[in-house]
Amino acid sequence: MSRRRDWSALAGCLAVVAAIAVGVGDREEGVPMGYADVAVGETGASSTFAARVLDVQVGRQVQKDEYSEPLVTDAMFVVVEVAADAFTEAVSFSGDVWLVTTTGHRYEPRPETNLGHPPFTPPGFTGTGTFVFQVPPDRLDGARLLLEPPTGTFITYDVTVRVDLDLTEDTTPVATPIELGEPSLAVTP
Amino acid sequence: MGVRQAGLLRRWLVPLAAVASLVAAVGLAGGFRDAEGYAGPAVDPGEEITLARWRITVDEAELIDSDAFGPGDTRIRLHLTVTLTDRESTYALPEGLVTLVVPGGPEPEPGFGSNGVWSTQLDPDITRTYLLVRTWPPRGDDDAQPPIGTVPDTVTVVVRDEVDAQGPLFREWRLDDVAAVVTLPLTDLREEP
Repeated sequence: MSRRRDWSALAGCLAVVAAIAVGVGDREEGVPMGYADVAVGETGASSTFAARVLDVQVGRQVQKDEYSEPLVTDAMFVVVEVAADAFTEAVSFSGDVWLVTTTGHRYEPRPETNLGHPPFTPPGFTGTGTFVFQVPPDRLDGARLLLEPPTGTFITYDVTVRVDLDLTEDTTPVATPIELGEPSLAVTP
Repeated sequence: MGVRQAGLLRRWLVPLAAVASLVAAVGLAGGFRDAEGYAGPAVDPGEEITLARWRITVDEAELIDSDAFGPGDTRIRLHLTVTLTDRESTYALPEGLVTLVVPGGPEPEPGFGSNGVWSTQLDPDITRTYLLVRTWPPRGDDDAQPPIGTVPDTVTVVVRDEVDAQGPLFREWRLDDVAAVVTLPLTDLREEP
C-alpha cells in the first residue's frame, strides 16, 4: 500500500513538472500581452506606468555631455525623449525598452548614453529621459518604441506601450550632433 | 545462492545501478570524449567568416603595453570586424566564440572586449570594429607579469560557431565546432620592449 502511495506521489510530481514545461514552452509567443498603441505625444498606459514620447530625432552624431567627443555612426542614431508616470510601483525601464523595426529586429538602447535614461521613478513621480538607438538607415521606416512592463515571477496579463515614432526613410537627419538632455524626476502633476 | 549472498547482492545492486546510470549519463553527454583542440578550416586574415548569427573578420593582432589610458600590462589586442545577424541586440561577443592562442606560449588571461568610447553591445546588422584585449603572458601567483622571452611571430585565432538550443524555459546559443582558424602576424607595438 505504501509503495503504491510512493509511486502515486512520484507520478503526481512528474505530472506537475510536465504541466509547467508545457505551460512555459514558447513563452515569448505565449505571454498574454496586449499593446497600447499610441503616437508621439500621446500617452499609453500599462498597469504600473503611463508613458509618452516627447520628441524623436535622428542623426549620425550624439553629444553625451560637454566633456566628451560626439559619438559618430555610419548607421543612424534614433534619439527618443520619454516621460513616464509611475502608478503603484517604481519604474526603472531596465532592460524593458526596445526599438522594433518592421523587419522584426529589436534594438536595445545604446549603453554609452545610459546616463540620459529616465531615472528610477517611484510611485507618484514622473521621470523624463532619453534613449538612443543605433539602427540601419533602411530600417527607420515604421519603427516603433516598446516600453514593456516589468516581467514578474508569475506570468500575468499586462500591456506594453507601443509608440509609432513616425519615422520614414525620408526623415531628415539632424546635421549637427544631437545634444542629450539631463534626465529629470518630478512629482506627477 | 545462499541467503547471505542474496542479501549482499540486494544491498549492492541499487548503488551499483545508480553508479552505472551516472556513468552512462556522463558518457552520453560527452563527458568522456577527448578534450577539444582547435583544429578547423584555415582562413586568411581579412577574410570574412560567416557563422550562424555572426559575420566576423579577424583583421590584425598587436602586442601592446599601453593604450589611451596610459602604460599597463603587456597585452595582445585583436582587431575584429563584427556584424550580428540575429534579430535582437546582445550584450557582447559571447565568451569562447573567438579564442586567442599563442603557439608554444602560455595561454593568455581571459579578458574582455575593449572598444574605446563604445560599449561591447552589438546591434543587428550594424557592422563595427571590435577589439579583444588579452593580458599576455598571464600574471603569476604573485600577480606579477613575467617577462617575455621571445615575441612570437604569429598568433592563432580560433572562431567557433554556435547552435540555437531552444530549451523548455530559455532560448540560448551554445558554442559548437571550430568554424575557422586564422593565423596572423603579431605586430609588436610595445613602447618599452
